[in-house]
Amino acid sequence: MRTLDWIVLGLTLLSIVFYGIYKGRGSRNIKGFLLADRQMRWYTVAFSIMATQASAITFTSTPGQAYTDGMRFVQYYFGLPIAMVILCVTAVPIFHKLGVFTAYEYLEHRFDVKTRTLTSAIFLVSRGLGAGMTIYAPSVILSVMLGWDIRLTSTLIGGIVIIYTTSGGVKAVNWTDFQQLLIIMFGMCVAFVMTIALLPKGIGFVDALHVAGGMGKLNLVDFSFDLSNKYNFWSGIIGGLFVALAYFGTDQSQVQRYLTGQSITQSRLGLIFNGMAKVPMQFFILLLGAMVFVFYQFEQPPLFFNPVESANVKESSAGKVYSLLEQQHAVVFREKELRLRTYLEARKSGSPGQVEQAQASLVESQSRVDQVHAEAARIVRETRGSAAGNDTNYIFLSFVMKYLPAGLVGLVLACIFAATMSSSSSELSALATCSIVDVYKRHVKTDGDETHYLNISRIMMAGWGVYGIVFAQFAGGLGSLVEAVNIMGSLFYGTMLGIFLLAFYFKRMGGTATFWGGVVSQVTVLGLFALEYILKMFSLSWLWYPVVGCGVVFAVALLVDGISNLRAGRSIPA
Amino acid sequence: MIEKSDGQDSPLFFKTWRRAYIVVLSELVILILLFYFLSRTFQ
Repeated sequence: MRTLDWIVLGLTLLSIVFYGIYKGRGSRNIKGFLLADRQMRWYTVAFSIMATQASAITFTSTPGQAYTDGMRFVQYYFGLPIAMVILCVTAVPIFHKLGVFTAYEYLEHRFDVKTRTLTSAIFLVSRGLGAGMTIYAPSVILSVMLGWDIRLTSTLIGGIVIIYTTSGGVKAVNWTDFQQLLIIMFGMCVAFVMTIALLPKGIGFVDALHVAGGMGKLNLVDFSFDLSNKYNFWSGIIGGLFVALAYFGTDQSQVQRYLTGQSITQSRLGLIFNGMAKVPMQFFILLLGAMVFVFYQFEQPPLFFNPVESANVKESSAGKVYSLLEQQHAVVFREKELRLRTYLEARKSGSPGQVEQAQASLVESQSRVDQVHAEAARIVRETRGSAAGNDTNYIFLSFVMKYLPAGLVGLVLACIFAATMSSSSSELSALATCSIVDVYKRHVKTDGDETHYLNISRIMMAGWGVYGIVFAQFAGGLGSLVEAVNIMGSLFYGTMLGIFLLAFYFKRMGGTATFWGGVVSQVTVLGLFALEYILKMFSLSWLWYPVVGCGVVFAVALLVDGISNLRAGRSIPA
Repeated sequence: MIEKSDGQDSPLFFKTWRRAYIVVLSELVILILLFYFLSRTFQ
């Protein structure tokens, strides 16, 4: 990091704090503090929705994912635009008309208090764990890249978020999300242009696409149906639809964004914009990763992208073996580079047969490079623990730190900080709102005045922020559990979505049947998770968990309602 | 019922909600086709 980078990073962080405080001033009641007085225009709603979903991991891990696994991850977002349309038609008008503060408040209007409490409890548990991870995951990466103590990084991120959220509430959150997404998009566009500019002379963008495609990185759409395949068209369009419906329709951190809309129209337009912009945005970030991959075909990458773990292994008893692997890596890389040049020449002047032969030779050479990398990762895992053996999250930042010019490194790091804060602030405000409206105001103190609830709201926001920071300090000790926490959302979304779909579409469904559907669904999904991840009895892509959870809610609720109707001598509802 | 209740302001350049939804879903179809042909062209 050079002086200019520190200046860019420092100024960006300061501008976020001051902008948040400035935009959030004037909230005098909880409607102003928790719903921004419902005065947001569609573009603020849209940007806030997108910034909330795009966490720092999106910008650090996604390019790395394209580097290692290709661009097939984009298929995960295919269900999202469909979900936006469904939510515009169903959820938005209902939530607006009832004037609710949380999505779960609607469930009491529709069913009863126990269903509301169950669903808000599920949200608090799942999002509470997620909020800690939102701060922890980027803090680890930034600490490694900047050489900072993780306690400093997580406290800095969490501290800034606490300052502007407790000061300005949701108005500050939405406006800073807007500002943060602009910073992020600008930074990523500049990084993309620079990556293309850093390619060797004579290698243009189209050549780069040929290299990426020839080496299997442009695997954007796969129509084959395979339940164990994480990312294909079907898991994306069906599983992705369920995940998006659950996330945007039942997760308060997203529902709160469009509840702040000035009208149903403004909220709907926010979701529509998200539906149109999300897939191209993810494509662009993945393409950036593919271009970084192409760059590293001409420039030798490190054997392992996490510099701290790499240095630790070199100093350990496995240091000698690791150094030998580094030498082997250099040899196989040079061989691959020669084959790459042959492939590019064949593309320009050779016959289709020669191109095919050169491509096969190049792919074979790449597999040898991958084998050496896999061996290095295995040594890191054995020496430093399983969580250390994955360097995907470090690929993009490692490239940025080493090759981008002064100023741009600071800008990209500012993007990562901004992305962390945009997600974290929305989560804190949602957790605080749910704690206040669904728990405190509903069950603990029902007769408080506006000032009391406003003060408690500020304390709750700060409290959840401190919790996030403390979680981040100790999450390192969780080891491989961190991966499980990442999948946590999919374990709860199915149940929540099932309950909301019954509320929207099954007019005669009762609260008790829905409640038991929710309970059985949650137990079933957690049981399946234990069978898959702990007992290793089968393999199912996590994208299918919400589908299963939702299905169980429906099946059990219909069964319970059917039985009670038969007992009462009524017909089964539809 | 839902469509009629939202008479506060129009959905900008989409003019009607039906058109807005068709635009979103059409864009998705076009993107999927584009991705498919991009993969095929540069494989």
